[in-house]
Amino acid sequence: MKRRIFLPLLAILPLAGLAPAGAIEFTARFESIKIDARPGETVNREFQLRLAPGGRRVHFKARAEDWWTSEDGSQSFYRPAGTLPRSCGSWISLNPVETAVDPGGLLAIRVTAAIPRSTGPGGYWCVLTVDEVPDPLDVRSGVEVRFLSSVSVGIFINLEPVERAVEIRDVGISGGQVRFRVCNTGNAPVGAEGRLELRRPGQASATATVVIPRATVLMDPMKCRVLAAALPGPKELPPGRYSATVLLDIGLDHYLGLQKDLEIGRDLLVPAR
Amino acid sequence: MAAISWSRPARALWLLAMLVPGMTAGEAAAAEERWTVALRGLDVTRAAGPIFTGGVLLVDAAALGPSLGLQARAAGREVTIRGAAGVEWRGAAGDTRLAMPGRFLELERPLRVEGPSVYLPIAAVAELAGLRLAVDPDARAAALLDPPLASGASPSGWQAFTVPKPASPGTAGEGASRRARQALLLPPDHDTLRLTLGFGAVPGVDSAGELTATGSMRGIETAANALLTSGPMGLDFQSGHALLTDPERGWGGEAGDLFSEVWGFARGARFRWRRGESGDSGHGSWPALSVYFDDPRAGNTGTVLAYSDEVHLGRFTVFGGELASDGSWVVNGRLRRDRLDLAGYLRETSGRFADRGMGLSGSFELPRGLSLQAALSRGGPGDRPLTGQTWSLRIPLPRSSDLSLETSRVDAARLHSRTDGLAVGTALGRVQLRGRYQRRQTGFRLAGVDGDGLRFSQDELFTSFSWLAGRRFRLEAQLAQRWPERGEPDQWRQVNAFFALSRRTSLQLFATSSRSGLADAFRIRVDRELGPGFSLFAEYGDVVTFQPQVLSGAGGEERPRVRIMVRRSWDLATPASGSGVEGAVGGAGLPPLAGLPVELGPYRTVTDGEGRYSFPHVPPGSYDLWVPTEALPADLTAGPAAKVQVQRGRDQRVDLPLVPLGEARGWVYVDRDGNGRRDPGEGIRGAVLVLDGRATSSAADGSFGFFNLPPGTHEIRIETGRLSAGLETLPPSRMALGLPPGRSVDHLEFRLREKKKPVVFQEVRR
Repeated sequence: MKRRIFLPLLAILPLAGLAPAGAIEFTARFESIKIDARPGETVNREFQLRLAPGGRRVHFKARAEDWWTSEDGSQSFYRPAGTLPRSCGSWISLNPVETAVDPGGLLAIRVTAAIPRSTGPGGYWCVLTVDEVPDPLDVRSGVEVRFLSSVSVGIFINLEPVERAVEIRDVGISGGQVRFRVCNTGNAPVGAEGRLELRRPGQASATATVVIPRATVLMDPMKCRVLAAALPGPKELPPGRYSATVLLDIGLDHYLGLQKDLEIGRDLLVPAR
Repeated sequence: MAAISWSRPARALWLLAMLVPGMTAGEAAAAEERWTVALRGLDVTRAAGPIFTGGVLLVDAAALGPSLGLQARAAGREVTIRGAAGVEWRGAAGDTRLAMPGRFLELERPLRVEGPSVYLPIAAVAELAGLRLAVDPDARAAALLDPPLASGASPSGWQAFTVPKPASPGTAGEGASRRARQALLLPPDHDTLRLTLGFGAVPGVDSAGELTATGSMRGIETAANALLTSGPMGLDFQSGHALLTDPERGWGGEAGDLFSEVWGFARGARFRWRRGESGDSGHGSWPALSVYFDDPRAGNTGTVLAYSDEVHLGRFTVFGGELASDGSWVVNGRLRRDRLDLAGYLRETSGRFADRGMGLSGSFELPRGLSLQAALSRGGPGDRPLTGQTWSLRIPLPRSSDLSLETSRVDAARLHSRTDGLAVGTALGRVQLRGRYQRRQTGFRLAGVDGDGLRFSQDELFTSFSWLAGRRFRLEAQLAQRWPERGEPDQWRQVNAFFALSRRTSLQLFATSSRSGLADAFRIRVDRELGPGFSLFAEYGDVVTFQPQVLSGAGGEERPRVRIMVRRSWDLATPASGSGVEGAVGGAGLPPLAGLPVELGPYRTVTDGEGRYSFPHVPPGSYDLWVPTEALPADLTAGPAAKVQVQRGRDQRVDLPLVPLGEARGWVYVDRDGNGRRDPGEGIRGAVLVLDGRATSSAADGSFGFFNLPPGTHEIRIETGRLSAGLETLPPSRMALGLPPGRSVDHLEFRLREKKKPVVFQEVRR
């Protein structure tokens, strides 16, 4: 059985102690590998994972593959490198591909992206997946169930000129949630995050601010992503007329903004069952 | 998905087609063909084969596919559409949606398959192709357009705007340039010579100009200084010295005030050169030819030529000497061993300070940190020799303290003295204390008087205190007390304090006082940096004049005085030393590797677009040249670091070969049908394979692989002992694998077979 962890845009996340019984414990930096390069360039990065001391020797196997999520981000899909047209999987070479790490030891995988000269501008992406595989030399008798870990880290390669652009195609408030449908209209994946501010007419300060968590808006196979965040309850956000302001940050030198006066009724704030 | 709105004529046409019995299919088709379809401005109506049905315009995705980047194929009822995004959508004739992992695409009208044609609503085709759909129902025209790239479109009812972000420190650009700066570390492209000019004056007494220069030019170490004074003694060249040394080629020249083993300081010129090795062995010698000019302040009279040598026998033994044309000579030597350090000299000089002397000194480290020092000397004119001897024992004490016991003796023709002392030192945090008590016994023999002569003794106590309070304040104090056998006790005190008033300004105070009638002295000094390379100091009190002779000359006793000096420094760029090291990184068949770091000892550069590197102006020496492993592309390997010996003026080319790594892939299978080859379903999972100590196991389909393999011969084997009980290998179970550079082998096969066991029938006993 495999448990896959994919955290493409988080900063430092020590995962020691999170693994279930029988699984390995490790610490790793799950920051996406971001590369700004030019066609024909070869760029190196390193992925590191340190096993907790006192565990067992673990056999790892690494590969590059393609990745995308469902539109609401609830599901991730992994396919062989080259499935997506903007896949960088075939540019990636890894060293070591397969190795064993002792307890307390460090798994350091050199990730090389060799960008073909003929590649057009824009963003390309894939993931580095590191699977725990059964140790071929570990002979065990009897029957046991072992959880094998699998870790995926995003690789995003940008070739200039990169155009980061999105359209917010829909904003909906219902069921205690605010949802934005953000579509990528540029030539590279973008990380989008932001906030929704709700003000009473004529008031400078916001009655409520809803943080829109960061999500990656890809281009393929679907260019739109639904970002959702929970609205505060009627106590913090009394029903009434509000001026709603959306500020979205996609990594440009400015925020994208939307504004609208809207009536928020109690029914909109009740979470959907 | 964009909805199609349609106009009255179209609706009328549709109603006519649906309601009027007897309208032929051809007539209906004629009505349908009135729609036109354009793709990025080009009329593709014929390929699209538009069918307007149920209020929805259908187009043939299979025919339009090549123009749209789609692949739509029908196999029976099943339809597969590979979208422009590269992902396969699946559906079947009659379905109202297409499906892919994680998403459905709802269709306004059911999917329609007619032979090879796959009819989809044109809005769905636009969605799959990533295009924008524009429909003009009145004109019965549909257009597929590129989507807008600009941001800022807003959903209905929302007003779009942009807000500039506040500038934040540390932008990506800055980070990149910082990384670039860190990445390159090249030898300096020039040497540097620091030139300092100074001018000082003691108003009303004298003045001085000074020049110092230190640094190097084309690898030649340079040091020069000169002090020119003007005052009661007239214009006087007080001191000056210039030195050029080429450590690599082993020569040096100097002129001015030289240090001579025979004369001490003497004014002249010298050339020295290296003979023998210059490496770490320490063997070699530095002979020198000198000429000393007549100088009333030096010992020689008239111009003297001299030959000297300094012979190094290993790193710890050195002998030397100097022989001058006036018959003066000196030999000296020093020997150092594990615990022993010995030095000695023999000297005979003629001229102004004729002298004959010898000396021997040494120290020996005893166990437990004790050390013993001794010095013996004899010198002076032949009829008035002066001998001296000193012994001391240093005993370490706890807490950074020490105790020294000392005794010394001096004997001359009419004087002899003996001093026995005890010294203690300790450190208490930032405070250091030292104390020394000694008893001095002195005797004089008077000329023409028999007997022991005059004898007297005195006790002396010296104490010193220093306190270092950070970098801003330092205080030192000394107290010397003397209790003569006869006469009044004497005391002498000195205080020296340093304050750093600011980063650029410091203040120094100095004061002495005594009871013995020695003149008390006081001096205050301020140092100030006025700007880059520009400094000033001013002293007030008992200051030293630039012409020391002034002290005994006119105006020498006027105190207090002011002394001021201003200095200005310049760092001058001089031609660089060193040689160039360059070459290429890569290998046969490899594309040029740009931006690859290359390290040469402490220096670092990156390869250019052609995979070439260059280190200019590398100082002479021995270096390791290599490409850091962590910087290599994952599919390449490099050999060990190259040893590079750099000599001045000799550029060299050193290529760094890289070798591509390879892979070995294969299969483990059971040839169940006995056809001698691997067929689907015959793979064996979990078979253990070992290549050069690395182990892997076969996947569910029997495939296995070893990666990142250096070229060469490898041995690969299947672990027969780890196979499941019902399987056994067919030869060979191990094989040699010759892997050319960068090549992959993917045809390795290990064949297994199921063990055949005889059936033993048993009788059923009744």
